[in-house]
Amino acid sequence: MGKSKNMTRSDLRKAEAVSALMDGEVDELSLHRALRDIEEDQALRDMWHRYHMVSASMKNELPERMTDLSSRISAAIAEEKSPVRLVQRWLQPVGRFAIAASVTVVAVFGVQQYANQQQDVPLASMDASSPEAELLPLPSMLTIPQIPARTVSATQGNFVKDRPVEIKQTITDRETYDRVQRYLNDMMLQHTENAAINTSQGMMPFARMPNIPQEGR
Amino acid sequence: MTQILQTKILKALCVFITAFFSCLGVAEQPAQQVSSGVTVMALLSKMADANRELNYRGIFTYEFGGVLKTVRVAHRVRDGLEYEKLTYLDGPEREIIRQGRQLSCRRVGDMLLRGIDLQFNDLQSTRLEDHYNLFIKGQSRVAGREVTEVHVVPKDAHRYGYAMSIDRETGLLMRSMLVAMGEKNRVLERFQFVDLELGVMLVDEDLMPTVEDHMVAAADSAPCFDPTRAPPTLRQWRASWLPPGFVLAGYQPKEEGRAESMVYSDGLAVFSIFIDAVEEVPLAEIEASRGATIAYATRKGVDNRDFTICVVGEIPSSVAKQVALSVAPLQ
Repeated sequence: MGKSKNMTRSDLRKAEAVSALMDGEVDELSLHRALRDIEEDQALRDMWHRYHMVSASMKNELPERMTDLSSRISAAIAEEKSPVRLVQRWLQPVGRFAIAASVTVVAVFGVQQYANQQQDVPLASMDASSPEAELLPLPSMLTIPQIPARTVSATQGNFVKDRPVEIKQTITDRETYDRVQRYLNDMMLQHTENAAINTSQGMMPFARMPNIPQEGR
Repeated sequence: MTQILQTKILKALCVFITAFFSCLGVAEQPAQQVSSGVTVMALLSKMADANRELNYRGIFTYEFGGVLKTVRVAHRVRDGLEYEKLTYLDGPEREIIRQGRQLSCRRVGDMLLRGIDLQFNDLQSTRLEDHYNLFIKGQSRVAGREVTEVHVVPKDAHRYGYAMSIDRETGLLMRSMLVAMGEKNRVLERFQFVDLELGVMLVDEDLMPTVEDHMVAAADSAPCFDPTRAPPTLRQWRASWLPPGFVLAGYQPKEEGRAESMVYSDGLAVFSIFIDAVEEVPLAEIEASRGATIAYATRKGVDNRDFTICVVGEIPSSVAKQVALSVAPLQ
């Protein structure tokens, strides 16, 4: 703190040299000395920095390299905030509806393909693999074809929340049907746990899981 | 709070849409690209580790037969133990908590996926490559991350095929499709990350249940792999026919609310055999399916007692039937 108040003669000379350097009023000998001084002295470097800031801001051309870190951080923070505000504004009632509508389109679109698949239209097909092809080092066995995009209205009722277990045998009696459903659900759930433990894709069996188990299981 | 949520939903949605359409675009890629120096087995082995060893948080979708589910996953490793929480984001609020699996514990399925040749006393030696052809099909992108496409094509009709997308950087499985091979190959289910954050700092609270309707999954019902240990002696039943490559991966004796069960795996596919003494099922035969999972149940009379034998798994239904019919008391 004493330094700024009681500048030595040498400091004063150096400060003057920096000022002169700024104004482009130095000869070659003083230039080298001034640059060396700036390099060695933090106070001079700060001064050099300030001079440039002032100069640049007066010319309205603050170059990024000259701005210090703190200003860059605050700029980044300011940037960080703006998208949130933007999104918020965007999510005003009308925007919100638009997003919801687009979600529906995507969902219905996606579901339609799977509904198709139920009717034996494949979502993806692999080329029929002949035994000869298997011997080749890199046959193109699995090709995923383009899925035909179809316009679907949500009223078609293709959207399925979750499916019960499909039973091949015909069960006419409701009570028996429920009992078989419960039994199969329970077996599938126990299998889920088995599969989760015994594969390295532990989360996938749980994604398959139909229902959460009842209390006490 | 709602701001953050809205941004997140929006972000996830964008990623989902991108992923969805990038998936459609796969066909346009050159069919055969080989990334040199990387063997498929090395990739699968890396994948087996990645799923368990990494800390991550993300959202994935699961689709089958017209159903699309969205699930958030948080996975953390602490003191050599795995913690995982799955939150279903649509439908009724539910969560699954998986706690305390030992990272060092390797199960039979893990070992097979790692390409380790298993030699059991009473089980045949088996390797993944004996039953599947494995191909690297090039690069793609899932959830904004670079992935390697791996196709796993079964050599016989006893199992399904897989189209997997494995994260190039970490080995995490980013997308997986299960494919029933046939004249028309059909995708039975699709699992796919839409958003993934890696290396996130997760705290204990992130892995605790937050809704009443949650399930704590069994952590250690299958033994860690130990080549010196004899197969469980409690077993009372055996399948006299098994599809080649499937080995016994776990056994669960009968207990309250649970049927006696045996688990078999070939490294990728898993099926369970359940034996129930109680006459739960009033039918002589049941064939059922739900997405990729099928079930075949039959009755077996042993010493004047009726048992229900049920095979459940992600295998062709004809295979399940053949296994179920071959189950007999062990003597």
